[in-house]
Amino acid sequence: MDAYLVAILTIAGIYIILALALNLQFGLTGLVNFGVVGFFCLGAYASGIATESFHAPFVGGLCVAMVTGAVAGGLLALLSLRLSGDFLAIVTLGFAETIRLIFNNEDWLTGGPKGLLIMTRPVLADYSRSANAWMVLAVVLTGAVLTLALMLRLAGTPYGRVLRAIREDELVPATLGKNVFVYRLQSFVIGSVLMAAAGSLYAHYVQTITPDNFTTPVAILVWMSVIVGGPGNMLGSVIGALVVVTIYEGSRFLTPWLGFLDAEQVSALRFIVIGTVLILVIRFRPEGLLPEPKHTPVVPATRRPALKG
Amino acid sequence: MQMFINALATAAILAPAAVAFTLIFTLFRYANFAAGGFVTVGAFAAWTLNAPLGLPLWAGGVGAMGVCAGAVALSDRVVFRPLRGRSGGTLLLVSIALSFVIENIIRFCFGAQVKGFDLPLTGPMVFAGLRVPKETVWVISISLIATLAVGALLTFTPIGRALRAVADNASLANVRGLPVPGVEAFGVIVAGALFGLSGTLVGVDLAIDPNLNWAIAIPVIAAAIVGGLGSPLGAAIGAVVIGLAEELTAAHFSPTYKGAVGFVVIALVLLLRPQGLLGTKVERK
Amino acid sequence: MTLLCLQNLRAGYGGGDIVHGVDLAVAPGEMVALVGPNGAGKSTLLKAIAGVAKVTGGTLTLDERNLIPLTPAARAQAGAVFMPQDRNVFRTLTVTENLSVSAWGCRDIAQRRAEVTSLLPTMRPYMHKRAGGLSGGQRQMVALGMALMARPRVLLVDEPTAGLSPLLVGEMLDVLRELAAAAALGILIVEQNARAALERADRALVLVDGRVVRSGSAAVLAQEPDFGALFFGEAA
Repeated sequence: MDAYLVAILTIAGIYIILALALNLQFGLTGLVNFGVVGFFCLGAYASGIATESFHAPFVGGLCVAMVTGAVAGGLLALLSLRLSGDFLAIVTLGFAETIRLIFNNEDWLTGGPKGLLIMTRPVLADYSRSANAWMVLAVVLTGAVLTLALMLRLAGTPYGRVLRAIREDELVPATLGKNVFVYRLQSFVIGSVLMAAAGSLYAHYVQTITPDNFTTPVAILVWMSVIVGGPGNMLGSVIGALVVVTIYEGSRFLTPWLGFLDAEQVSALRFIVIGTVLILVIRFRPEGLLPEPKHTPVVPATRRPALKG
Repeated sequence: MQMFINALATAAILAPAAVAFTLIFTLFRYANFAAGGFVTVGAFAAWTLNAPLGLPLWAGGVGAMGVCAGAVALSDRVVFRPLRGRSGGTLLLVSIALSFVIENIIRFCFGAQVKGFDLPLTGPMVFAGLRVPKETVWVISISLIATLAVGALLTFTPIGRALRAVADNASLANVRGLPVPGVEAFGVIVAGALFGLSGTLVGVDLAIDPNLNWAIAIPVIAAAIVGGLGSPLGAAIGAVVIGLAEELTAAHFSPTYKGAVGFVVIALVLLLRPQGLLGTKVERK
Repeated sequence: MTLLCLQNLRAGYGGGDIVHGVDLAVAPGEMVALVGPNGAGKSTLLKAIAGVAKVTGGTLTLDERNLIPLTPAARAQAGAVFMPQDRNVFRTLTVTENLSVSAWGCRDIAQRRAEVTSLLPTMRPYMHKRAGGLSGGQRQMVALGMALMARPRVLLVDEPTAGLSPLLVGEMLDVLRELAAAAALGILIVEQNARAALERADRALVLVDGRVVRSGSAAVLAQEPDFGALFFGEAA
């Protein structure tokens, strides 16, 4: 039971980082990134390949993952950020699928569907299995706490206020001389770097990664964390990720009561419930569990005054 | 030449769904990513009528069109209508979640095994030294007829004209006395039937399984974007472009990379010609 | 004989009234101008008659038939036809299609189209063009034609000259003036170019803060020394 709790907390920590990164992009800046799982996957493989094929230490792998995430995020952003929201969503979704396809096919590099075995772990040598698990948890939670601190700091600064203003109406900040594109690019790249870092932590935690670890359900869970927690509220994302991981992992315990269903059906049922809850939350409580605190806008909120009666 | 026929066969599968996606986009201004999910529903509906129930495939196809029209109309009423007026990003997220739900409902009901239609074995037809399976000839002809029929419906009939008017400016249509909700419902049903047709055609060519969802969604959306997201004709031409690109990829790189074609084409179009090959820049809110 | 009759009409968009009790009558063949400063509620009044804004009190009848419970489409069918100020043509449809689609459900579309083109013959050269590609003046003419397709009894025109050059302003208003006479049509027009409107209208109402502050013969109102003050709302 202890081991199970450690495992769930580790997964939760990784989801917290993913959710915070997405919250920066979507909640704060209004960028619809459906490629969360692509950056997560990219980070995991980049880190795994760096440590296994090139014998880098764990920290080296983490850095490689973050640089890879930054480059990929920057390229995607340059490609699609100038266009409206829907296009970014389509491009990022296609990006995630394509990344998965590449890692599935290029097995000389990634081991393909058989998976990539990762021996490097962020632990001290010569300790027991359970002590190692605690150490990995500590590393992941440190990452999550650092990410949260960074995000809270970002959201509170004038920088965060500009991002929020861009989300509300890109014309107003633009007329005030803010380069909207650069702000969006920065927000997107920071988010991508964090997602890739989460991928690195994940890879060195599970130790075997296959492209099947990085499919739509992961993206849905991360999106659900942000939406349930409250878009724009950083603490909300932490709570959202905890709630979502608890529901998702906890629903395993329902399996014995669903004995008349086979394993495939139980798994399908969990996803049906998750997808439905996501739609219901968007419809009935779009502000999430923790609504975004009201901030004084950078500029008076009067938009296009009504000219006619 | 063989490659061209393969490309046409792919295009024939994608075209009805791409037209349907475009239709929904022009009517309601959101990208419905559940397109792949609806095509999968169509494939399973046709399979259910064809294999376990033993009906001929054409009856299965008609049934699939009906089932999909119902499913799309239901999703519009229950899921999308209450959210009208929310941002495009929100609707996109909802449509992805919906797609995910649909995929898993299918998995729940039918399991993950791959299924195929119960079709009699037929020999290929030979045109000028080219051997083309009879099924492929059927797929291409039916898709072409359906796409042309929808094009004609939109261009020449009063209801088609009304549909274009509502898509153009719904509040003006209301003032000018058009029954806007009825016209929208008609558009949704036509789109649903087209998804069902694509689903049936997909089942003739490929294996039917719940994973069809994303595999079909991205090329369908890519075809619609290449076509400029404004005209159904554009979407059909976009489907041919995607079909050709997939075949070229299969011939010059590896067939496994067909799945990436949609993304690469979308990226190229966004880079070079954001308004798509045909059509003017889409007006957005 | 009155066609359109408003008594103590109150209207708004759901957040408090903008029009505070207006009495107004329009007879067949008569052109009535609504003038007043920005924000006076002129457009809101027009939209309330068309069913786009909400009537919150008073009566509104056309030929003694109560319009208030009717939808915008039903009001158009009853004869109260609205021509919006902007986005008033379907840009992706041709002019012919724009006209046809505006007579939804009618069996005699071709005949109505012929009627409208004979009333507005300047449209003839560009009937097959897409409306989005027309000039501002041409587009306003198409929008007017679309309204006429419903065979209105009373036409509710919201700033038909917005954005037009001074030359076209007069032309557009002359077309409306002639239409009123030729088709025995009642026209209620909201117009920023108050002087140009008063030159053509039979009667006029000056609206300030949602109330009628002056009404009567357009020619007499135009001669009033404090007209400018009235128009800019200083005398309210």
